[in-house]
Amino acid sequence: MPKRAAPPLEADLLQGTLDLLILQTLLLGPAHGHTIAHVIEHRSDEVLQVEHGSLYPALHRLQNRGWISSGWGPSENNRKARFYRLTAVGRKQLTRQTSRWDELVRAVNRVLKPVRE
Amino acid sequence: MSLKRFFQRRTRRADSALELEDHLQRETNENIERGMSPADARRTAHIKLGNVTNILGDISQQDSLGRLETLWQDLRFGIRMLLKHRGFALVSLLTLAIGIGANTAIFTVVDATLIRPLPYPNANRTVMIWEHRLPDGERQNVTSPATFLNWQHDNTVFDHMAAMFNDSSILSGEVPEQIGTASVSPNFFSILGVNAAIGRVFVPEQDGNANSNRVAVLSFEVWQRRFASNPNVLGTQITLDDKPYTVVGVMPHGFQFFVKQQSFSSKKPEIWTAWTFSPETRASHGRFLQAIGLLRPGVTFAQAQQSMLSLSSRLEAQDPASMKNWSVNLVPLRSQLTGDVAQGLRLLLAAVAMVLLIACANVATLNLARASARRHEIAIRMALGASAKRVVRQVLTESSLLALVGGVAGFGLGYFSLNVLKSIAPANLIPLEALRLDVRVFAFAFAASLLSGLLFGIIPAIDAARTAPREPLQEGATAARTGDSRGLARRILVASEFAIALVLLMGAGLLIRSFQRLIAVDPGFRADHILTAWIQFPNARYQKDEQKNQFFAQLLDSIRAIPDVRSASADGFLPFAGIIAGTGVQVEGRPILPISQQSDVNVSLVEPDFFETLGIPLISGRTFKRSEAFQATNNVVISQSMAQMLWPGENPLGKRVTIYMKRNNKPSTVIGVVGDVKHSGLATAVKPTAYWSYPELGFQFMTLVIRTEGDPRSLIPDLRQTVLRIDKNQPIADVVPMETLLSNSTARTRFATQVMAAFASIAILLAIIGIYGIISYDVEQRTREIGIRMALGAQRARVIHLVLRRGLILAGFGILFGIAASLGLTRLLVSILYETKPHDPATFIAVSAALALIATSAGYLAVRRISSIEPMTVLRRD
Repeated sequence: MPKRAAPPLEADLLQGTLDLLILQTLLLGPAHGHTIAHVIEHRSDEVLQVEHGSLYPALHRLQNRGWISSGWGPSENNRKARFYRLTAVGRKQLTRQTSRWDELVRAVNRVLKPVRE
Repeated sequence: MSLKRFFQRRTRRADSALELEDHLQRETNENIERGMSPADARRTAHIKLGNVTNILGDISQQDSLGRLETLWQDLRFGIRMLLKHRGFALVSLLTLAIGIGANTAIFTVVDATLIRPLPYPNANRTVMIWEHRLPDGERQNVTSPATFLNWQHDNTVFDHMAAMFNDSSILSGEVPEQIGTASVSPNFFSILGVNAAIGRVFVPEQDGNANSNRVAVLSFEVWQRRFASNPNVLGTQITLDDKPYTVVGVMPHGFQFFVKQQSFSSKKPEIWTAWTFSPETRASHGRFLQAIGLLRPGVTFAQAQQSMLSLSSRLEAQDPASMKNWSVNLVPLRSQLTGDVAQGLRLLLAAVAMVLLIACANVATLNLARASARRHEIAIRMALGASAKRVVRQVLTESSLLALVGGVAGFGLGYFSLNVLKSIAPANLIPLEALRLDVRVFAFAFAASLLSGLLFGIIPAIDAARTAPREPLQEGATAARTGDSRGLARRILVASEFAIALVLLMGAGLLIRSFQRLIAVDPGFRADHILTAWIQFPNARYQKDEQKNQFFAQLLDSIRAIPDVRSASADGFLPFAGIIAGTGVQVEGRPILPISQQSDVNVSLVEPDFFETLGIPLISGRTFKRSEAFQATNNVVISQSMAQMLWPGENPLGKRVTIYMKRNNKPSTVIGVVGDVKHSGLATAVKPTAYWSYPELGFQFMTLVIRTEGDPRSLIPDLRQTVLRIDKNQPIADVVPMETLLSNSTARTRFATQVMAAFASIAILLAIIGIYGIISYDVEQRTREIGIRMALGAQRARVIHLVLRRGLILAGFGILFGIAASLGLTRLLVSILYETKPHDPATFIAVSAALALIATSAGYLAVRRISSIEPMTVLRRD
């Protein structure tokens, strides 16, 4: 019998979170992929290590949804780089996703706390 | 997912690649700043980013059309595989094209005859109403004016009812022409729901009454041919049989309506005249009318039949003398017009579906054989991570591709065979002009292709999915394996091919045997070198008997004077040319019987020399003298069967018999006995027949019968000239050699036999390919084993025998199953077989033996290769 591919559940779980982090990062201003990865790592005190390999598909997906847009422009060292910026739709999504995230965290905490006591 | 992104996916992929390279550069630079060596920095950046190709794949997956793109990949791969295995592809395509092509052609005929709606808006509510003659079970007998009027008046199930009488008349003009006409009740066209293209159809209140004008409606074709498409034709006078008619309408192009059953004329009506019964005819019980009715909305066919049956028994109670032994029978218009071909067509459809089944089995076998050869490839694909689903989809895509290409080729082949079919199909069997490849036919061919793709693809697909990746990859593992389950599927397929081929061959064999018996039947006369021609007087011109007698005597003398003519005569009802009159007889001196108990005989009128000209043997007595062509003598010549029926064991000469066909019936004296003649077909039984000389009844029509020295066709111009010299307004029609009439009568059977034989040949061809394929594949797969056997001392002949036997056992099983199936299926042929039992043992034996022989020869050709196997070469190969 042929081997079955491992189910990609893990990736699915992480995906939403990564999207949220990218949107939050772009709230500060346009940035290119490399910067986004490092900003996320830096701001989370290096706790969140962004899998660089999954960053670019995520950016592509968000762009396809119309939440971010991209354009090619000169970067600091005068090399051409792809910049991503938040769109109006993306801004709204960020607000909605953030509040949903907060809800989720609160809910998870409510479940977890009694166990600790 | 949008199409825009899909079509931009190449640029987008390039952009992403650029972006990733940029990312790597930045990461590398940062790493260098942290103090790594440039090489290390680049390597670490790469590790952190991951597999660039996978990331790009992940990104472009988002831009792809998913399944569609997979399909496209599968298709491209499929095309590459087919191009690579050209032999396989070619044989498969050819097989499929034949199967689908034959099906397309037959379906086109079925579509035109049985599926497409009839060109009459009210066709679904229109039924034919016949009398049912109980003594001999004739269920579609014409009716009489009296009965028709009773039906029309007393029925509760029809909105309208019309009577029709198909005749032929002389249309006057520069060139007089005998043309098919129909006298119809004025509501005839409104029952069918058709209207005129120019002018109007008949109106019941207005047309056909005794005091109204005679009116006629033309067919579009007559309007074109005889009136040069003149738009002002309305209101003009035409002359039919010397009587004037006013043209009131022209029917649309292609409109025709002709029910052949018991039609007086065999000519398709081209001019319709409005007609109501005169006071004298209203009471007539002479049966000659066809009747058609429009069912009331909401009345079902069964209700109508029931209601008419009870009406019929009421009529019988009122008038037992004319109505005893007669009932009524309704036939839906479609069955009436297509009924006699419907059964044959269904048979052909079944046969051609079998051809497609064999074709599918064949391609499946080829596919399976190839799949085994492909196991290596599939194993590699699965080892590299292709899922079973993906492999199945790939194999199915390939077979669908093959099927569709085969379908396109088949559609073309269907178009071609349709033309062949058109050229060999007898006239009036199928509506040739309606045969066309339309959307429905295209849809059919498409569906047939896809279905066959699935049919022959599914087994190889499942087989492919079961491939265990490791096994075929091990060197040499394939060579020694034999007799696996894969082989079983293939074997079953080949055996079924043989079974189906046998059924088809059996059907064809029975039809051929039946046809041979049919054409060997002696019609009772010699048809060679005979020219026949129909001649009909207009009522108005030839009214006196002397005129008619004189005309024929003069005409026949002139014809006899033509150098090429050996003898000439005429017959009222020529054999193989249509109907014949029939009536009851009463032998003089025996108790008078009521009409319903009298013996029935056919009656015809002949001119002198008739029996000699047609070659009907004189058994005793004499035939008519020339002098008897001028006056009625009450002499009669009877057929042998009539003599046996009325005077068994006695000498009939000089006996007297009354034949009830005249106003004043007097006994006729038997002057001669002649041989029996088959009148309405080789397969029909002979009927006792009485021949009077022409003056006894003085019909308005006769058929000339002329025996020539050379080709009868070469006489035609002389004959026309001779007739016109005697009467320049008198045309002749239906000028055909007797042999043509004879072969027309068997045309349908010949056609069915030819088509069936063609299908059977295709089936055999495919079965040969099948058995050859499987045995040679066996040989190929077992080359190593055979080599070893021979190296160990096995006799070459013995090895050949062994392999051959395996193949032949299959064919044997197929033949056995085929015989079993044929025992059940050939019974369907019983109604079209002539003097041949559906289980005719000779045919069964011959067909099975032929198929076994074919299998053996094909198998032998396939195993011949064994003799070239060199044991040492085979063994060194590993």
